[in-house]
Parts: sequence; structure tokens; C-alpha cells
Amino acid sequence: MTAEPAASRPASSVAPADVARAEGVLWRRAGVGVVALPRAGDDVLFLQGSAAAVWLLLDRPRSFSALVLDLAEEFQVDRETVAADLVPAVDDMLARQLLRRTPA
Amino acid sequence: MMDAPEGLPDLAPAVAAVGLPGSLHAFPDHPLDPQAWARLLARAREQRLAGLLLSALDDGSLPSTEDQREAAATLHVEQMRTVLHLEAELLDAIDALRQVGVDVRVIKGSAVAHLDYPDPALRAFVDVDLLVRGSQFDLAVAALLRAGHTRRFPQPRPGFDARFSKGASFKTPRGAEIDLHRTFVMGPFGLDVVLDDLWKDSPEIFTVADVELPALSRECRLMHACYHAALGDVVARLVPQRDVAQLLLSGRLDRDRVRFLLERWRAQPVVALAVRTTWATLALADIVALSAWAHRYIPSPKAAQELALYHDPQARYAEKSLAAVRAIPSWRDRVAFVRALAFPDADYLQGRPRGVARLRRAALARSRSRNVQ
Repeated sequence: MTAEPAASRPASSVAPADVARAEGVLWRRAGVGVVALPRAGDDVLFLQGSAAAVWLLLDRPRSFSALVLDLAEEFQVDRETVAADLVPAVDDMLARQLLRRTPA
Repeated sequence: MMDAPEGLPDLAPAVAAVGLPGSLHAFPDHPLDPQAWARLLARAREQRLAGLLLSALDDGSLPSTEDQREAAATLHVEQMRTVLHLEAELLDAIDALRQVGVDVRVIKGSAVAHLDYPDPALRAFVDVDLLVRGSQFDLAVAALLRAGHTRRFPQPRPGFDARFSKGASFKTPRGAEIDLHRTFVMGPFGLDVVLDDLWKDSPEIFTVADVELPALSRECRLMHACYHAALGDVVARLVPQRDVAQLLLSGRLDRDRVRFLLERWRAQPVVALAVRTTWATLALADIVALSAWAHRYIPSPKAAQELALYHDPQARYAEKSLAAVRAIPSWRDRVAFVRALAFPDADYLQGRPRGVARLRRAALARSRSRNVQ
């Protein structure tokens, strides 16, 4: 994700809650990723790689483990590797108010 | 539209037709050389076609090098960043208008991107366009001014906007442009549009950032796309033509409603020109009822003369405005219209005294020629 670092990140805590796109985010597919602008923000964020993949998968709320499964299948990578990659990406998106937690 | 340098084919129309059924445009079967690529990328920037260009590279219809793909992707990100900032402005403007009870329709860019393209990322735009009723125009202007927007040009006289103008243009505090429309275009064809028809159809709803926004009906969107393609610029731009094709080839139009609007708005010259131009530019082989009709249609000499005015690079606001007089039904309104343009308020005159002088001369010439007849 290309933007300033998030001011403060919550401790890694995406699992086991479901995650969903936050309300009021403007977005488009763009180039090799996704551009997104939270309604309260001024800066358009460019999501690439796993962040873009997470965004596109979250057309409906999903559990973290479902995200891991889908991405492991899509990219033909083992689940542990995907999970290790996904935790910081999802945390960062939560901190930037692109995602929200929903009850599991 | 830019002329192609000698020896370099202009591939922008082929890009504008990417994904349309029945287009006869084809790309080379090898990546473009650096000069041809640079020209195509410049055209994609100028005509806002990065989404369609990237789509052509992704599906392999235009072979590319890694560098070319990266350049197209970068341009697309740039155009989509602009689009998101504009949609944020759109939501703020809608909010300001709804707070004072102004009924509004989102038109052109954002609405067409969300409702008529398979992916809104294929349709870029550079401003926000809103339609409001003439009776609420002044209220809408006041709401946008209160929200901190700056009106770019004042109206010639109080009440002119609500009765005669195409609309008004604003700059937002962040520098974006918002066009507030009363009708589609200035001049005679704009005044022929029966505005009530735009509001009679149920709005089609689309969603931006979880906010539901009303657009015109699909048939009115087609009509508007035709006005934009045929009359919006001296030389038709590619995106409005793509909009026309996108809507017409969707197979989801109510043909009776389109026929009704065509006749009631006396829009045949405009729509026929837009459809013919689109079919030629995008090399469309598919025939639909409206394209068959458009190719047969011959405008009257008077309509042809009025169309020519929109494509004359020398014709200014004054000439187009004066030509609109014939579309104003009552003599009292005609007098008010000419009087407002020939003798506007001092605010309006700032920065455009030559335009007003041209209008006065044109009005005089018109009145002399009428006396001779």
C-alpha cells in the first residue's frame, strides 16, 4: 500500500473476527491494484498485491481464515505463508479505516 | 482531436472501441515501437482512455512490452485517483443540495461509469455534473456557494439561469469543477429539450461509497450522451462516443421511449449526427434500429445550419446564444433573453466585454436581415 505509514496500528488481532469493507470508502480497480479513498480521508491509497486481493475478496464480510483459504488457492501458496503475509496487510487496512471488524 | 503525425496511425479510436461487440478496429499483432506507443499513451491521457487501453493490453488484443504495460497501468492509477477525488466532491455537493431540498440527478461521468460500463474503472472523467430543475436552480446555486464553492461566471441578469441557461460552473475549495446543469447544452438544441421529461422518468439509482445516488433513466442518459457527443466539442471526443455506443449496444433501451423523446425534443439532427459519428469513429459493424435510422436521416437545411454553429471553432457564446432565440416560444421571453445577453449586469461583463459586443453586433445583424425579408 503506498501512503504514509498508519499513525498507530492496533495489535495484530484480525482473527478470529470477520472483516468487511468499511462504510463510505470510494474505490476503483486501477492499474495492477485498487485505489481507495475513505470518505473522511484526503489521500487516495493504492492497494497492491495481497492488500488489493483482500479488498476485492471482501465484496461481502469474510472470516480471516476464509480469506487465507481463498488466497492460498488463488496464488497456489501454502496457508501459513499467506496468513503470515495477510496479518500485517489486514491490520494496516484496518488502521487506515478501509476495513472494519464484524462479529464472527 | 489531435491529428496523427504522418506515418503514424491513430489507434485511439480502436482503444475507445475495446470490448464493444462488432467493432472492426484491429490492433497490430506486435508491440508498438516506442514512437507509436508514446503517441498512443499521449492520446489515452488526452482522451481519458487509460482504462480501455489497459484492458486491451490485459486481454492481449494489443500486444505490449512490460514497460508499456507499466506505463498504461500508471496512467490508469492517475486517472482513477482523480475520479475518486471527484466522487468525494460529488457526495459533498449532493449532501449540500439535499439539505435544502433540491432534487438532483447525477449526469455524465460518475453515473454513466457506474450504470453503463461493465466496470466503472473503464470510464474516467474530469469534473462533476449535476442536473437540477430550473425552478430550483437559484436555490441550488445558493447551496453550493454556502458550501464554499466559487461560481466561475455570474449569470447575465437575475433569473436568467432558471429560465434560459445551460447551467453554471463552480470551483470547489479543493479546486475541482462542478457543473450544475439545467439542460444538456447551450444554444437552440438545448432549449428544445423538454426538461420535464428528464424528471418524469423514474431515476436509476447507483451507489457510491454506500450512498445511493439518482441518475437519469437509461433512455435519457442515451439522449444526453448523444447531445454531448454531437454538440459538446467542436470535434467530437472519444469518450462521449463510447458512451453512445455503450448505451445503444446494451440492448436494454426502451425503443418507444427513445423515439418519443427524439420527436418531442426535435432531437433528430443531434441524435442522428451522434450515432453516425460514433459508428464511423468506432468502426461499428453491428446495426441497431437507431443506427439504421441515423444513417438514413437527412437534417433540414436550417437544422444543418444550427448544427454547424456548434462545430464552428470561431463561433462563440454570443452566436450560439443568439441562435437559441428561435427555440424560445414566447416573444416576451425572447425579448428578456436577448436583453439579458446584450445588456447584462456589470458583474457579468467583467472579463467578457468582447463577447457582449459580438452579441450586440450579431443581434443587430439579425434584426436587419429580418427587416429585409
